[in-house]
Parts: sequence; C-alpha cells; structure tokens
Amino acid sequence: MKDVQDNAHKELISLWEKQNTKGLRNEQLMQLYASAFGAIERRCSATLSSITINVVIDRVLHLGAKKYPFFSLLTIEPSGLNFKRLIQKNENYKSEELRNGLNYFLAEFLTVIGHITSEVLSESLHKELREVIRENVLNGHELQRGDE
Amino acid sequence: MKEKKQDERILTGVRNLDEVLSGGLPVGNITVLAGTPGSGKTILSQQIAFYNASPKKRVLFFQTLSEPTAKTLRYLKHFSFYDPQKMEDGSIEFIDLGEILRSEGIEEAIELIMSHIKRVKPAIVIIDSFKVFADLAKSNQELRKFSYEIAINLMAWECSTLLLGEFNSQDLETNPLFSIADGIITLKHHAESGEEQRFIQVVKMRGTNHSRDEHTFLISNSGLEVYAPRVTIRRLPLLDRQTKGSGPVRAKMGISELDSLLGEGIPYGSSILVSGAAGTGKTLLLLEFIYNGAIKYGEKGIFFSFEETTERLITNAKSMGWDIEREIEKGNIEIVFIAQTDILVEKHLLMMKEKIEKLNAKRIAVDSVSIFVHKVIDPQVVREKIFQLGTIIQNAQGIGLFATDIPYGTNQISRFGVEETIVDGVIILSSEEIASKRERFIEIYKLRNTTHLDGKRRIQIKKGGIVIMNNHVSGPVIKPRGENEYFTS
Repeated sequence: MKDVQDNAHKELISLWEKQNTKGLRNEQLMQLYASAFGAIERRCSATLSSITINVVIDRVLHLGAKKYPFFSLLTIEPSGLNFKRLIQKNENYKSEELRNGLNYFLAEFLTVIGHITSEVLSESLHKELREVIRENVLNGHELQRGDE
Repeated sequence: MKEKKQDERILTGVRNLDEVLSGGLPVGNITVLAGTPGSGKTILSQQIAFYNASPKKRVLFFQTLSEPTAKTLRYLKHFSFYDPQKMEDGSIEFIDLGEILRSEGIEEAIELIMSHIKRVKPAIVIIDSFKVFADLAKSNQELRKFSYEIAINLMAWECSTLLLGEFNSQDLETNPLFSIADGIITLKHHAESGEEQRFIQVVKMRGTNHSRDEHTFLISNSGLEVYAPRVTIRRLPLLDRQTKGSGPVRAKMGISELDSLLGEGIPYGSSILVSGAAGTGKTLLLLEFIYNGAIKYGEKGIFFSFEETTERLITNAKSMGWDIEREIEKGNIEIVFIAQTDILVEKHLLMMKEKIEKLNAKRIAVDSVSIFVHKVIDPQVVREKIFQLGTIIQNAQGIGLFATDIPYGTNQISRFGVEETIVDGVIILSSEEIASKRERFIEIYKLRNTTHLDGKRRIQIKKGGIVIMNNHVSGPVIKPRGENEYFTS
C-alpha cells in the first residue's frame, strides 16, 4: 500500500517533468523546481507547522547530500527552503545529475509528508504541482531555441 | 465504500501484547512506557528492540541518567531474547546521553539525539528514561518546547519511539511530555488475589482499537509474557458439525449407566460441573471419563490436576484396573499437574488452552475449579474465569468436566455459588450414612438442551469403575435405551 502511494508521487513528478522540462537549461530547470517546491511548501504550511516542514526538508537534504552534493547550496530558512544560492552559483552541473537530484528531492519530500500524514495531503499537493506550468514560471526568462 | 486499511504495525514480540494492542504498535507512533522503578519498562523496551532489530530495521537505544549503560548491558545478557549478533552488526546501538545531559543540558541533548538519528536512520528509537528531561528542564515551557521539537524530529524521520519514564497517574494528566504521546502504556504491580502481581495497561494508543483492561504479566528470562484471557479467549462461532450436522454432535460418557441417565448424550462444546464434597468420587469420575474416552471412543483427553500429582492419579487408575500409562505413552491422554501454590489463574488458563489445542483433546477434566480459582476473592472474577474456561472447551468443541468441592452439610451445589450458572450442566455426587454404612449417590441436576433422567441414584465404586445402581432413591427406574422418561432441565 505504502509502495503504491510512493510510486504515485514518483509517477506524477515524471509526468510533470515530461510536460514541463523538455529542453530547459539548468538555470531554467532550477527556477521551475524552485517554483514547484514553493507551491507545494505553501500548501503544506496551511496545514503543517513550519518546524515540521523544515525538519522534513532537512531529512530529505541530509539523506540525498552524498549523492547530490549541490544539495548543500539549498538553505533552510524560517520562511522555507531557499534555492537562491543554488541558482546564483549556477555551476556547470551535469544536466542529468541536476535533473535527477531535483526530482529526487521533490519525490522524497512528497513521500515523507505522505507517510507522516497518512497521505491525507497528497492529493492537494499533487494538484499544486500540476498547476505549476513552465510558461507561467519562466515568463520573461529566455527559452532555448526550439522550445515550443 | 472504500475499506480502510490498518496502518502498518510494529510487532512487540511479547506474548499476547500484540493482541492487547489489536495488532502491535502503529509505525511512527510515540509511545510512553510509564511505571515505577522495577515495573519492567526497560526489559519490555529491550525485548521489543531485539525482536525487531535487523540491519534494515535499526534500533537506537538512548540511555539517560537513570541507569548507567554498562549496567543495562550486563543485565541484558541474562535474557534469552538478547542476541549479541544484533549489537555486533549495528542493528541495535546503545548510546549514553548521561554525560552530555549532565554537562550541557537538554538543548544539546536534542542535537546529539538527532545527529545519531541522521547517522543511523533507525526504525525504532528508545529513550530510557525520558523523565530525566522533565527533571532537567528549567520550566514547563522549556519542557514543552523540548518535547515538541523532539516529537517533530522523530515524526519527520518516521521513527517509532518508546519513551520510558517513572511517571505516575498524576503525570499522565499534567506533564507536558504526554501531550506529544500517541500512546501510553503503564506497567505496575500490586497485590491481587493474595499475591503481588504485575499489570500492564494500554491507556491510549492512537490508531488502534486496543484493549483498555489491565492485564497480568510475568517477567522470566524470556522477558515479558502478558496474560490477557479477556482478549485471547473469545467464543468462536459454532463449528460445522454443530451448524451443519456433520460428525457426532453429542458425546457418550462410557461410564456404567450414566449414558442412560444422560439421554441422547452431552453436546460437544459443553462444560459440566461435577460437584460434591470430599470423598464422593469426583476425581474418579473425571479420570474414568478421560480413560473411557480414549479406549472406547478414540477421543483424546487431558486431565488438569490441582490436587493429586500425576503419579498418584496413575496409581489410582491402576487400582481401578485402568492402564492409563499406556494411553499416556500412546499420546491419547495427558495429565498436567500444577501445585496449588503455583497456580496463576490467567497464566494457567492460557496454558490449558494451548495444551488442549495441541493435543486436540475432546475430553477435558479440571480437578478442581474450586482449587484453580481459590485465590480469587471477587465472585465476578470467579465467574469470568470459569466462563473463560468454558469458552476454551466450547472453542475446542470438547466436553469439559469441572470438579468443584462443596462443603459438607450445605445446600450449595458449587463452592462459590456462581459456577452452576455458567456451565451447561451439573452432576452432583453426594454421600450419606445409611444404616451405619456410607452410601454414594449421583444426580443429573441440570443439563442444558439435553433430555435426561431425573432423580438421585446410588453408585458404587468397584474395580473397573463407577457403577450406577438401578435401585434409585428418587426418580424413574432406568429402562433400556429409548424407553426412558427423559425430561429437559
């Protein structure tokens, strides 16, 4: 049962990525994920305390840090997770590594929140993610040639 | 409607405790184990730890100031659940927080706890004792903050947690620690039925339909054993042969003319009280019932004796010409002797259940129920225990004969005055001095759902067994089968 729901988070993120991340540069990808996570975090904070959300973020970052060293640039602040340093530094991350890392972070966050709340928030969080569309987020950002 | 799934559980590995918890501890719950020193908290938590620990399901056991870790480890080795391999491969880690608590205080303790949790990623966290934090906190506010933070961290890391402490009933209502607890289990000991006994009670356990009763438990070198007959002995639906008519529904006793008195026989699943004063032949009737079951009807039988030792019962049987030893060797009969002084009602009820099930016994003798429950003072508890005994018989679809002593010269038909209301039938054995000779009698006093012959009849005890005489004192003469004037009580 737990595995089925865990997979549901992963499947949704894969679908969302497929629809939104094709051809994005690293910077745009980070921007998109920052926006997606921001939306999810806002929805979470309507129900959960900021301490809870931050502790879950801390857990996910801690567990993924070895595989994705760039996680150390994501900072937890009282207002939530901050992508600023990651985006600003904009090192020449391997695109696939960056994509996998951000995917892992989002999937693990949804999974842990799902586990500790018996999945009662999962549907709302999925809805938030589905509503994050690249055109809205990246408005004003230059899209790569060939996109759309 | 969508069926709700039960949350994942952690089994405790403690006999009958998972039944009390209705399936174990919910994964991710914070459970407080509260009790006085020596009540068994540490042993219970260690038992749960060793039962669950594996390289994939690691356990962190934090020791605070209450007991030095070295001491805990030394005593741990005496228990059979202790597995050194689980400590060697890191499945269980014991960590002493005493030093940091003494020198730095509780804020730093959280950081240390969390650093270990991040390192080990445990499935189970145990803090022994958590009460130390309450003692060290400078204010209730600090304690509340500490509790909240640790609860959130443990939740986010999906740790199932046991917090141990010497908490009393007042603490349960006022201590801020309890606001974070999903579950509270109390352990205590007090005198009951003339003996100091240990009790465990699940006061609260979110997400479970747990038993709220106090249950007795013992601590041996296997750890805790909980006895919870209210939970584990429940009447099952009637078996097929009762509901669908397959197989024999009624049993024959195989004793002299007793079957003629009993009409069509005793329904399987029945419990019959055999009451009588000392020397009226109760033990012999029970023994013959068991022996005849094995040799005449191929039914296995078990004799629970709280008075006569196994050796004396075998000698008595031999003097009657019954080779009961051979039936014991063949595995058809089992005699279980429990000395009066060793009786622990709840423990032995479960033992009886298990032995009956293991042997697949269809004939069960208890000699006597009056001795079995003699330490119990409350008539309601006597009633409950005899009902549970009857439930064991019914679930086994056997026939149970329960001997009970009645005092001379009274009109009572049972020792406690409640037994006869629970059982399905009562056979009274009595004796009287007639013309300077002591005569023995038998009477079917009550038998639910069964036609039987009324009246009191002489019996004699001869080599070969009990003989029921036809020269009745009262009631109709026993006629050949099918011609008797039976009635239903």
